Amino acid sequence: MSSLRRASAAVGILVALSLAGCSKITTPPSDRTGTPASALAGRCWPLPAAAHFDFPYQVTGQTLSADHGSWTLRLQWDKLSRAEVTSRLAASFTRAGFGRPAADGDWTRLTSPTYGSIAYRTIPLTGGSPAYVVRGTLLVSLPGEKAADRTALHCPNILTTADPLPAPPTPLTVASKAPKTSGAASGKKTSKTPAAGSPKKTKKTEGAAS
Amino acid sequence: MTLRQRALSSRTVLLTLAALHVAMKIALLPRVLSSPLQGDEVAYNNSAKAIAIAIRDLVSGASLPVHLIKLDVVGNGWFMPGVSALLAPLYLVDPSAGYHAVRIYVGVVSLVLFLGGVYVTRRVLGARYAAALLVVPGLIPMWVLFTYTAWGDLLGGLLVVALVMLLLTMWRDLESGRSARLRHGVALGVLLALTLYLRSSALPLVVGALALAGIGVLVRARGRALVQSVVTCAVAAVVFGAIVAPWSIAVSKVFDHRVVTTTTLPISMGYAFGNTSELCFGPCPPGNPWTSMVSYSRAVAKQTGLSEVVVQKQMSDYAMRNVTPSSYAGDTLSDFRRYSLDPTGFAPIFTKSGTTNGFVSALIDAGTNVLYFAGLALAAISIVTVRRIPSINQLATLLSSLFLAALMMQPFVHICTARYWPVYAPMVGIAAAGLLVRRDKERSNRTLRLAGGIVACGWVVVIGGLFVVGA
Repeated sequence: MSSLRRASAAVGILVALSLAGCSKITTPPSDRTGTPASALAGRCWPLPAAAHFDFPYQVTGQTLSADHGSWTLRLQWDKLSRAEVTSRLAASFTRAGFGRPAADGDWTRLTSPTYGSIAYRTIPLTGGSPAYVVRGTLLVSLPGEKAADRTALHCPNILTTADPLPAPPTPLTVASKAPKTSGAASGKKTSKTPAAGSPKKTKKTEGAAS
Repeated sequence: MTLRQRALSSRTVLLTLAALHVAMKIALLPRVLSSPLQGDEVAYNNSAKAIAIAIRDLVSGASLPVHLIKLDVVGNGWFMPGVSALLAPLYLVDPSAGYHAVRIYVGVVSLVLFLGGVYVTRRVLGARYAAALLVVPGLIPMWVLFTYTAWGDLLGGLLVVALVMLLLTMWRDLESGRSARLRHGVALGVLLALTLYLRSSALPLVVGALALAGIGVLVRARGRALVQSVVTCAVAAVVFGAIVAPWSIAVSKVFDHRVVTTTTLPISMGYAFGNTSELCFGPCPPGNPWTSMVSYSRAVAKQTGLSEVVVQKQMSDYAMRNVTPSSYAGDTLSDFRRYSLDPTGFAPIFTKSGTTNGFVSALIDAGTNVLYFAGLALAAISIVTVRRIPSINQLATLLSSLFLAALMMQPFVHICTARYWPVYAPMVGIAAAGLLVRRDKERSNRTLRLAGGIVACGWVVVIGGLFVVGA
């Protein structure tokens, strides 16, 4: 009896799986834990919309300094050389109205009159090679205030790293008239409507595609 | 003692041992009923519910819940759906079944499989082997506790008993000049596929068993019997392939990458042997390391257009780039210790408080340690001494030794815990039972002795080497 049950169940699963296998699969299966890359999507993008990063990257952690003065995000960039990423970053920040970059220890510091100051640092992958798709770590430090409204905006949670991430030596400042939210993730659009790229919409689109 | 009296007394012994096993099983039931589903059991359970829903939808003519199957059955690609297919009937009958029902259901299935295995063993190898199985693993308290769990290791291990008996039956046919029977070929294919579905890490064993069947046929059969036996082996391979293929195809499509059984190997290698602070090309996002690795690989895959399985392979390669033979041996040795030398390591999960104080716990610990290590020692002696016993018994020892070796590959590729040993415990019993067989120089086979000797040397070299290089 037991083997009969097992056999019929096995047949059932096989049928189900072959049907599932034959169906059109266009996206990876849904992920209960969420993909870290979407953590900065839509209105959760913490920088001016024009400063979008036009290279593949993923977010792997964050730290808010003890005094809440700086919010450091750890990203990794993929596929590109460090020089290429640095030049694309510079282009993004220039496009968004940040001034000339200045060195601040290991960091590169930039200031925008409407946003405030930020700093970033690129660290190529230790022992990396073109065999690996991930090429390095990008630390981006923003004024701590920029992390404040993430909960209110229902932004996906970026997990805080166990060890504090490094922060730039000079404290970051926020522009006095900085807008609270920075607009859509797709930086090509300069729409200031916060809802334009809301994470809920992004999620739904992803869900419908799968 | 007449033959009839001896048969009667051996039957009494077997029935007594079986009754003891059942009594122990009933006595330990309250303990497992206080232990909710753990870790992978939860995943299997969700998968079983999804299969039950899918079957119900199919029967009622509704469209198949593809999304649910991808989410809960395929999931991260870590588990083949053997256990979930086994549990699905329970959820077909009662969609809201709780873990108590799951534990009792699995307990009954494992009892049927175990006693069935003992029965077949008695028919093929005789009462001594059946008695040995009823003691090791049948009276090892921890093993009995594991018979209520839905991890698939123990159930897969029980199918391996049937597999050994089937191969021995086929050998017996060949030895007496007959060809391997077609229905045995079909049964072999089915058995291998079911074993793999229950325990995907049994892949080396399954492939090895097919190869052994082929070798056995080529060595033993002649003329017309050879042709027929080769056909039987081919049928076994085709049946096996036909049952496993739907899963392999489905999972390969989902991950856009060729996957035969599961996607686990790269990240498990990286996790077991690599630098754990570099698994995500640096530290992984905080949280459960396994899900963290997968969701990270998914993020990278989304950004780069690669398959997440390819990303996982790269993550593992990167984390393992500084692995040396001695670091690998050291990690394998720790794995091996957890895998094989800590049979009571999972005892705390079967107690309410998570601690193992108290009289019953002490009994379980003592009973497990005594029987498990005695069984292991006897199996080792039986494997290493290569005695002159009848060829069918020689082959039983050789097969159990080879299958033990195949199941012992896990510490070399995957992080191990004290959860997995029930998969190989029956092979320990069969190997040890070889010592109960009287020497019989006449009926002993020289080639099998030679093969046994080579395998014994392999054991000594690998285990010895592991301790020398890794310690």
